[in-house]
Amino acid sequence: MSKTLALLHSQADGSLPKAALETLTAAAALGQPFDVAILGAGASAAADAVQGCGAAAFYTVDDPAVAQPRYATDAAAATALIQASGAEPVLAPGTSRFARSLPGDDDYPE
Amino acid sequence: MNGFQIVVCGSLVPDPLQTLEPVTTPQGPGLKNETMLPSVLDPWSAHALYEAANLAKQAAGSKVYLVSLGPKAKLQQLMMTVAQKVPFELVALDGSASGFTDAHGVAAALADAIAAIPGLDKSRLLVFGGCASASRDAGVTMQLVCERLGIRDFFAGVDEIKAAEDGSFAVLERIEGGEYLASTCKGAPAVLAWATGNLPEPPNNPQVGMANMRGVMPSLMKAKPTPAGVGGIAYEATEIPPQKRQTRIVKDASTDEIAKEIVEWINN
Repeated sequence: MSKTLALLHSQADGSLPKAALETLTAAAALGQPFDVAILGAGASAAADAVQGCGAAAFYTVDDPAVAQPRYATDAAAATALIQASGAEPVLAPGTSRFARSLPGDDDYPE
Repeated sequence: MNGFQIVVCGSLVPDPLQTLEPVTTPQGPGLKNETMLPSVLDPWSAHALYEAANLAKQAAGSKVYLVSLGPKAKLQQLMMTVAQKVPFELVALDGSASGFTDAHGVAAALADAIAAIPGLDKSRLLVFGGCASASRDAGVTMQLVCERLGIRDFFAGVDEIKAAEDGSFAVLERIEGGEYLASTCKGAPAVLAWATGNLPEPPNNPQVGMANMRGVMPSLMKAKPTPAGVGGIAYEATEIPPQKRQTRIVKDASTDEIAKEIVEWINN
């Protein structure tokens, strides 16, 4: 385990939900280098708000397509963020948004 | 529109009123006396099945299928009760319904069985299932089925679906804070993982049972052996979570005392 990824999402108002902040704390507490990836409305501003968390790199998807929770767009954005970071394991909050989209975040033949 | 083809994924779980004791068997982890335990239709899947039947009633031309992965003999027992509830066509898969099976293997088996349903029309396809399972609360199987079928619309923790004349439908999904996320979808195909829905368990209807059993028995006869193992996972140990009672019973407390305690609890 060389690097961990804290995969988070913002809320409708652009802030990070409590569960996301707890995930960030857990990633930092591992004592390993970690990246932060955020998707959702105002993701860039949310990343700025936690810039002092000690992450090695920040990745964001801040686009109207992910402003609302939706399976296909969330899964695609999460895949892109995970691939961009290349870190593993991935820590993510167990919110309804990620409980919906992350299990399908995989490559299967159509 | 010609109605929906609603495929419900649902299988059996040990009756939750039984005492379950995890043990290690030569085939891997399991439950003590698993084959002897009485089974019920997984409660989450049951909600999905009742909602499917209700939707099929409202959208003329719809048909409900129940794709069920479980030991053939136990499925047969289960169908004696489930088949009396609502009309459906059974697609039986003969394999393990253990809570220790790997979700990826189960999803692959379910998706293959759905894709093989004769006359399946993806433009009318709605796949229903539970958002979790009473035997294993992974909450991922339906998403994996969705991906394997190449479907791009998925809804989790669903409590309501309302279909419109044009084939579009509105969905309510449970989210945090006791709220609902309301979505509209242009139409099938889609996968819906149900929470509890809003419908009660239908009463037994012998006529429905007779009609269903004509298809159930042949389906059980030709149920394919479906290996869905633990996916190479080695379980070091299994145990039932310790029971923790976090409530206490206080008799004769005054309203003021109760209010004071609630305020203290909130402030802390």
